[in-house]
Amino acid sequence: MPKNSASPLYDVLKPVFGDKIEARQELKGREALRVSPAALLEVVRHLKNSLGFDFLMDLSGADYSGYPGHQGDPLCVSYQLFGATTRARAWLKVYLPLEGAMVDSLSHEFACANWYERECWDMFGVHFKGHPNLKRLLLYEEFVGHPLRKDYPIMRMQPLIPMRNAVDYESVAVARRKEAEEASAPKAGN
Amino acid sequence: MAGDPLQEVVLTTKLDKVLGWARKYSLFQYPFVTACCGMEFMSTSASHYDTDRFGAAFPRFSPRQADLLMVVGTITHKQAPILKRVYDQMCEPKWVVAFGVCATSGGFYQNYGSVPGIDCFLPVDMYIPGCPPRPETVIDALLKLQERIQNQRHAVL
Amino acid sequence: MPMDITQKIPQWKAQRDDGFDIEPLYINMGPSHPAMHGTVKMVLKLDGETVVNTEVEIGYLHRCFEKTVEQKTWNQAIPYTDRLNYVSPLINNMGYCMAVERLLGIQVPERTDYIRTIMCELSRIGDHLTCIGAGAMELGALTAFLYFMKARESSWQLIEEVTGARLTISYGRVGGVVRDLPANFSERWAWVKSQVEENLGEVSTLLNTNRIFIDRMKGVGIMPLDRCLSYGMTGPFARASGFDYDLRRDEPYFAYDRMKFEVPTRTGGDNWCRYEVRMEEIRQSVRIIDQALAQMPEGIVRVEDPQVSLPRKKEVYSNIEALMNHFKLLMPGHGIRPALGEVYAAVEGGNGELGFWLVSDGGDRPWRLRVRPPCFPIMSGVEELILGEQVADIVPVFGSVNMIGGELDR
Repeated sequence: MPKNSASPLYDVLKPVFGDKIEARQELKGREALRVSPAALLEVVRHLKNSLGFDFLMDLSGADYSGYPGHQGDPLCVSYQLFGATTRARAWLKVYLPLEGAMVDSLSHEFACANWYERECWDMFGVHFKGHPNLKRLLLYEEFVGHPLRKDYPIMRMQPLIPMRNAVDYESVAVARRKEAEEASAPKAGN
Repeated sequence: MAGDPLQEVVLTTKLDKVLGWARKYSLFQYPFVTACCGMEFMSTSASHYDTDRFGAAFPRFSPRQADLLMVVGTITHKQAPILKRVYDQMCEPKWVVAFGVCATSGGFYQNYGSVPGIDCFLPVDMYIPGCPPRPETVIDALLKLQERIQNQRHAVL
Repeated sequence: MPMDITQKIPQWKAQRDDGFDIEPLYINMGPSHPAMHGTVKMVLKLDGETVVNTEVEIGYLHRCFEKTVEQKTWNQAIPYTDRLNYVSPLINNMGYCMAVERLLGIQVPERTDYIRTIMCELSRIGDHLTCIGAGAMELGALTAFLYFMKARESSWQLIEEVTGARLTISYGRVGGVVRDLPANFSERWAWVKSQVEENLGEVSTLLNTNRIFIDRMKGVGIMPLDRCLSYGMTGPFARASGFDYDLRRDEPYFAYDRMKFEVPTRTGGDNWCRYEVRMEEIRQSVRIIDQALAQMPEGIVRVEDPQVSLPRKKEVYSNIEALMNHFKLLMPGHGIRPALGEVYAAVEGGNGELGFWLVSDGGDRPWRLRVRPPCFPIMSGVEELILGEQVADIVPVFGSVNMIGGELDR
């Protein structure tokens, strides 16, 4: 099990940042701090320079649209920080709206944030202010849409060269799912 | 004799057989390796299950010098134009082998990124199912392909 | 183009700066290249033979793992995890199962921990053998490749006897593993061990004092420690630069806290150090498997929790509760349903920290499954790493990065 810092980070950061640390989640033995998007860069800088979290382990997004019990902005960007000397871990999350999701880029603090943020833009459409080269990483430039959002259907292919069997997989998948739902609907009571 | 049609037919079939024999035992493969099947491809080419004894070991990493395009692994929509280009750059006669279920039909990847089988844009001669196929399956496919090459018409003129 | 060479090497000068109008050469080490393991594109800007600027483009194997598993149940996602780092699939399997078990809050039986340790280390041996073998092959040492393929073949035969498949094994399940080790595992392991050690010895003799190999690997592709940390690199790549962090020792999971092993580190940060670190790690993995086999207790291999594991077939066919349990675990809409929550769990993959961020909405499918791929930050550092190197040096550097497309692009 990973080590958290000596005292819960919330208690350490709340006096310094006040309302910018919005909430604290206790997740299976680790705490995740919800930070306001405008204050992310200064919180991360403080963690890096004063508290020794100088290693960015992961930066990724999640779309909470429709998640049971979720209120507020649905698009989440999660940061896993790590201290290379202290060996402690920190977990920060910011929540952004679907339209115009924007947050500061960490690419000047951590070199790896460059690619992590490009992937987040590619998959979720989160714009990172100050990123030197924000373009798609895993998909091609001609691709339209951000696939890991909940409103992107998984079967919507966007081929670059003509495909011989022009089956519209997306409509087939939608039709099959509707059939399955209609077939199981009368047996309600599960 | 030039005018006798039967003699001509016999000559061309014999030529077909000779060319078929020569071509099947000297396959230069272009292993277009993308994913996990590449590991089994490496195993098949290595010393335990050797493809060199069938004449098909030496990979040529230039499409101009290869005649067997082995598409090993999943092809995504981003990769498809490149594969098509490599195929177009190869000279006749050429054969295409879809190695693994991802190249055959997309495998269990049914999503916005993967092409459901390379026969969407390439003509395929041999499909090797398996995820990844065992080396014995690959050798079986290679032998079947060789038989096919032996029996096909080889246009000379 | 991300980084210019003058940012890395401030005193760099072009070959001819005497007023001649020189144009740089742009070449494409394209997505289908023998030395690009799998598929990655590098657009290189060259001045003579030196790389002045580069842009690495990935995503040619983006198989939409994260979106796909949102449509599958928790156990159905396991075959997809096999194909992440496909040279060490057992580590991905077990890491994912561990993450789901943390989400559920269940504890697996002790025997399972040992089995998982053994299979992870067996997979890690295969990973390092492939990496070094392929890297050596690209430098012309084809014999080393064939010897290591022989050793890998023997380990794959052992894996096949345990799991049923050579490469894509789907051996883990949430709550344990599929089946126990076969009865003759120790004898078979002794044979595999002798093969691996013999081949390690042979390849060491071939490569360790080989002038050509040393010249091509020593001093090439140096990654200083501070850049390593800034790039977020872990695993053998970072340990060769001096970052002494290994999840097996520092945040132990499975049975690693009961194992005695060393974590090799070097400080040079060049290809040679990475080669040495990986060779040494193979030896340490062999040591771990020996210890685990000696210490392993008897017992069941899947947790007997009706919410998670399928009941035994004998009982399913004889009493109604087990039948209902079986039904409830398999029907769509039922199955394993963790409570609302999230977890981030990490294991030490072949390339470094393999992290899983799981979000559950209380249903039988993951809401979000994020994989933190260990070779992703390493690949992002390759752009900087090859600046100033010759074109021919890109090949051993790339070989020591051990990029696995399935993990990088998911």
